[in-house]
Amino acid sequence: MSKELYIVRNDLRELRRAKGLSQETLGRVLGVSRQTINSIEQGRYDPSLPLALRITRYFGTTIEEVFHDDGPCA
Amino acid sequence: MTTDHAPDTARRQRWLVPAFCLLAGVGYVVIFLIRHEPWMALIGFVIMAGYGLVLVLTSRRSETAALLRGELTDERRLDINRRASSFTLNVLILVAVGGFVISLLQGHDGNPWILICAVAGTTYLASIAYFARRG
Repeated sequence: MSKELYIVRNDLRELRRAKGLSQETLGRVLGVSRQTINSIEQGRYDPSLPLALRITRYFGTTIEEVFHDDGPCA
Repeated sequence: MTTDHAPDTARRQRWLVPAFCLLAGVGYVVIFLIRHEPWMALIGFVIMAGYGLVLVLTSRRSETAALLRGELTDERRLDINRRASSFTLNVLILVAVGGFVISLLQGHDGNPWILICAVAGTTYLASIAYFARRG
């Protein structure tokens, strides 16, 4: 396994704001805490595949459209 | 990987640690009353029940308190709990190995450190084998 640190950006904040949802509300819908939503939005936590799928299904989009692999960190 | 818990399980989890604190407080009362130390019984109860109460009162505002309260309600919190447990275990192993070496240097037989190290080593080995098979 590569030891390079990969940065995965995401558009969760933009998607949530576009729907007019608070972190608390989105967390409740997805079955996670407000802090977890905040951590994902800030890029401090990468969600598991099941949670990523729940997020994309909720917003009617795809994984690739929400999460962006910027490659290894320099 | 499961990402969340059923509401009922989460509700039960929220009260497990406070209930344990209260029970431990009552345990202190019983033990110290048997030893005829009423002040220690009172202090023990206040510390344990107080800790449980602080967790209940602060867990909505503080995620640290929520985690200490046992609210492992989603995958990130479970991950935090796993990492904290792993870090704690590493520190304990370091202390046990250090204790064993110091005990030998002092001319003792290494007990009970050697026993703790043996249990930790065997458990780690068995866990690795189990989780490697489980995938």
